[in-house]
Amino acid sequence: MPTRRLLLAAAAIAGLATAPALAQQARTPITMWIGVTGPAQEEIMRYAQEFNASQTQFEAKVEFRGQYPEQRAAAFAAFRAGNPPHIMQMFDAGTGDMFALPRATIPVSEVMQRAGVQFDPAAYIGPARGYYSRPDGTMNSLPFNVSTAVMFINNDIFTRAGLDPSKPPRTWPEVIAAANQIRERNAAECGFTTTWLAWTMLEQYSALHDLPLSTEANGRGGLNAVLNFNDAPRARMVQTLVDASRNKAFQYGGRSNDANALFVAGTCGMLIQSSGGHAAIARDLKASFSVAPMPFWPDVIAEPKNSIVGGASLWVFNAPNRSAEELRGVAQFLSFLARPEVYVRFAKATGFLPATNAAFQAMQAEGFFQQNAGRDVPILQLTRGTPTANSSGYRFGRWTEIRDMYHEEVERALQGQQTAQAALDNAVRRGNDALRQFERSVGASN
Amino acid sequence: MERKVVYPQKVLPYLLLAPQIAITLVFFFWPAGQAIWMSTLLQDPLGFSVQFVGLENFEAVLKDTAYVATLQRTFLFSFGVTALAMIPALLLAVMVDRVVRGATAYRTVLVVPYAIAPAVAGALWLFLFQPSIGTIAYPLRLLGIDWNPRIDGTDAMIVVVIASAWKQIGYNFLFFLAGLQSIPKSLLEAAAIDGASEVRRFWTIVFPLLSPTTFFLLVINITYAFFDTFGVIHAVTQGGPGKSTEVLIYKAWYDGLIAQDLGRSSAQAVILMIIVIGLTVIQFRYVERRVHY
Amino acid sequence: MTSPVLPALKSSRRDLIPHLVIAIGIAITAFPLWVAFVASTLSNPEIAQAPMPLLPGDRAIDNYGEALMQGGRSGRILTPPVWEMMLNSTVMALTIALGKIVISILSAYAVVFFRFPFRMAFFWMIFITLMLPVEVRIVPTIQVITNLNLMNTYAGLTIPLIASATATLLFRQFFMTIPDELVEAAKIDGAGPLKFFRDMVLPLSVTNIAALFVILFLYGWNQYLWPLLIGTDARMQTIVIGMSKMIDSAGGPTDWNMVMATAMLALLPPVLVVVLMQRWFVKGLVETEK
Repeated sequence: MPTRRLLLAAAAIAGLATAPALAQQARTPITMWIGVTGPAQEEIMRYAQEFNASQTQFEAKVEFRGQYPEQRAAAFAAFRAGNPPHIMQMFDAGTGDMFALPRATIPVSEVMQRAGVQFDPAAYIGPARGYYSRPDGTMNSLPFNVSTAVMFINNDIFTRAGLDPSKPPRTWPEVIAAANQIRERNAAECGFTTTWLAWTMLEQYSALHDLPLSTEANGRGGLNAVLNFNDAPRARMVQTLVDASRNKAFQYGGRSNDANALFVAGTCGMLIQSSGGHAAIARDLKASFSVAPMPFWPDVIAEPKNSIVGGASLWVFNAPNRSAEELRGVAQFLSFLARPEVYVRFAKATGFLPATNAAFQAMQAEGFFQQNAGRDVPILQLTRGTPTANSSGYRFGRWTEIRDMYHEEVERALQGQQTAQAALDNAVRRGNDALRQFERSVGASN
Repeated sequence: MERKVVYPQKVLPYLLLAPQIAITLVFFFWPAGQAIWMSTLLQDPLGFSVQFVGLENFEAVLKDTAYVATLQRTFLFSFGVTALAMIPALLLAVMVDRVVRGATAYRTVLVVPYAIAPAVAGALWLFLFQPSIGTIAYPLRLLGIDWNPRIDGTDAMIVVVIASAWKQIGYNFLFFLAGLQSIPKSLLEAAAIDGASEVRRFWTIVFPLLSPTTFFLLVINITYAFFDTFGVIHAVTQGGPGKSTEVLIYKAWYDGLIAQDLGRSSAQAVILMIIVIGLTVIQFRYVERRVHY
Repeated sequence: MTSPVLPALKSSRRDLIPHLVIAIGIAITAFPLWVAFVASTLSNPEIAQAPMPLLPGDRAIDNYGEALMQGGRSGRILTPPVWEMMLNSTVMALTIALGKIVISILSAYAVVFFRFPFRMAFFWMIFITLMLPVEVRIVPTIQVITNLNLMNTYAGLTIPLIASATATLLFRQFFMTIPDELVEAAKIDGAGPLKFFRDMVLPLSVTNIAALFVILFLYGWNQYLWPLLIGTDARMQTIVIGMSKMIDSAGGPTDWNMVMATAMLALLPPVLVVVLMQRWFVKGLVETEK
């Protein structure tokens, strides 16, 4: 036995092994880095296992390398070292950076085409397709976890406050009135709160009200876009939050997902949150809840536009040492993930949205939305009407950082250190500095 | 100072030094050189486009009001941490120096926080100050104080300063105690006979004699507050709310890693390097003097 | 010894205020630790009922068991089981402490007991690393580690941290005090440099090594920025990093009992090392002066 093993090992080292048992080891590895945790991470890991079991040529290795920004830094370092992961999951705000560095990645459409794998960008829901595609229709990255912002309502708190949870507030004046009533009747410690402040109150808000974030079609027209979101309607939104925070009709809950804890603990009656948080709310909130579309200001827009996508997409790195075989594996794995049944399973397990029309229809056909009231609210909001230049997403370099500039300035307004208008003026000024710096830094490469 | 008797081997010493020098070159000098070089470049996050811009990044950083504000905040933070870590430590050391019994046991307990990681210390205090459930936040609420480190920058700063200082008290205590114990008792007794009050004796005799220790600890604590508190801030406030707890180290990390602004974050790194060099030089010049003393 | 009663009485009254101040100091020092310990023995609803009880509950075994064996996997926070993270921290702390001691004692020996070209240049090279902490070279360091394929490896987590100016300086200072006569005698006995190192220098250095070990163990165990940058894979996570990730509960209610149990487990090893090796710890602090 030992001799036999030794011989086998020697054969393997010499590269002479042809036995079928050893062919398993000759699988081409395909690495994918992801930045999500919790149920979403577990699901993606499971799909990779299923992909590996479904064929013998490739082995998908999914690794969690820190949350999105940390993971991106690690992937960029790996790229500079000439050995990036094959696939990287990149959050929405990083999309503009990737578009500005076209030599770093291969568009998903092209990966599929080169490998001879059937792929149709038109299968994707409009806002996701628009967000991740070039003007010529080439899809740069594969939409995977797609979400949008909606409003969750704690039915118990609403009832205690004498409000009707079956008629959720539709407009901002109605939201403020409801929040004040919650406070006056002492039905909860706070009326409403929001997660991801910049994403909900600036990005989604602007899309819904058909307001531009910048010149150059929200940055899709070029890197020379100039931010201009410091106008009256946007300042009024910030001022509304500042005013409402005086009597706790609004309570600020931090820049990222922390406000969710205020809602599930029953501290706040309403929460503006990513639809991707639905499953976690259902698990943690000890009360019944409803889902409503994002509120709007009727005097700014009579019929609100569609909201925009958040979440993340999958990018394929370009590297000098990538073989055609590896790219074929990447294409196989991505098309495995892009099947409607995978999108349906992922949507059901996490609360993210079905990214393709086929997946949405499949969920409708099996009656999922009848059994799970409110789960169709985000997708209907995302796909309503005809998108305008202002509701088709945006494309800015260093948007992660600019979001934080908005957070910092609005936080200072909430602390009473500056007016809402000054907050937006500062955010725009600092944001434009960052955009100009970015434009110059990539200048010579394009 | 040199040894007179040495070994004559010519190759062996290089072999003995090799591991340390190799690590130093690869992981210290090379990246530090890179940081200096990158501070003069304007480049995209992936290095496709690289332009030499001289000192422009430094100019941009030093003219940036946000950076200047962070610099001022770092001084404020360091001052708070240093004061809060040194004054109680001195008080405790004076007290322990006066008691006959139990000094070792007291020392053991007081020094425990020093062993705890800054991030863990931050977590403990964050928990005590958690607005809805914290054991300290609760009585604050009863007193009608609207306490919330998540929204209020001052509250957040208080939490990170207390957590950072708490960890360092035991260290300062040890050095103050050692300093106090080295003061000749005869000196104090003579003063007592002259009728000087206890407070007077402390300020006229003890404190001046402790000044080398105090100065040494000052440098150590400032260095600690500048460079070793990243864990507290990253784990507890992430620099917020607003920028109210963002210190220089945190900003360099954020701009380099999260914002991928390589040039300006490298310029910040070089500025930090100059600060460390300054602090190290002060520390060693002082230690040298202390050897003579 | 004329009147033994009176001074004793006087001194005990005199001691009252110091003891009182010290008691308050100790209470403030120990309070966060006590509350954390209590929280680690309660259920989350008990913690949420402000004010939280200040006496331990009955869930200690459950909480610590869950943290150690499941880590953040049981809730929405995804961390490996705490025992795995403690193992990573242990490997990191021991490798760094021992590695630093070994390479520093060798370098100091070379610098002190030999004369060779560029001797002082090498010494200054080591000394200058004091001025180049990780914090001032974050981005390029990640690049170097990535280029060498050391991301998410124990080697990457430890080797770059084992260069040590402090330890080298300490050993150098100590070696200077070894009498020339001793070296002379060893030479006459025919002991070469390696034999002299093994038989004389090493045994003489034991207390210095012990003192350094305590300080360096703390240094390694309590690292934050380095493992945050280099150990991005959950399998390489240290307990300090894991604990801080548990606070950020990704939007769910923070499981404070788990966080506090993990915090207790994260602080226990370094605290034990300090308390049990206190004599060397104090010596180490005073002699490394940082």
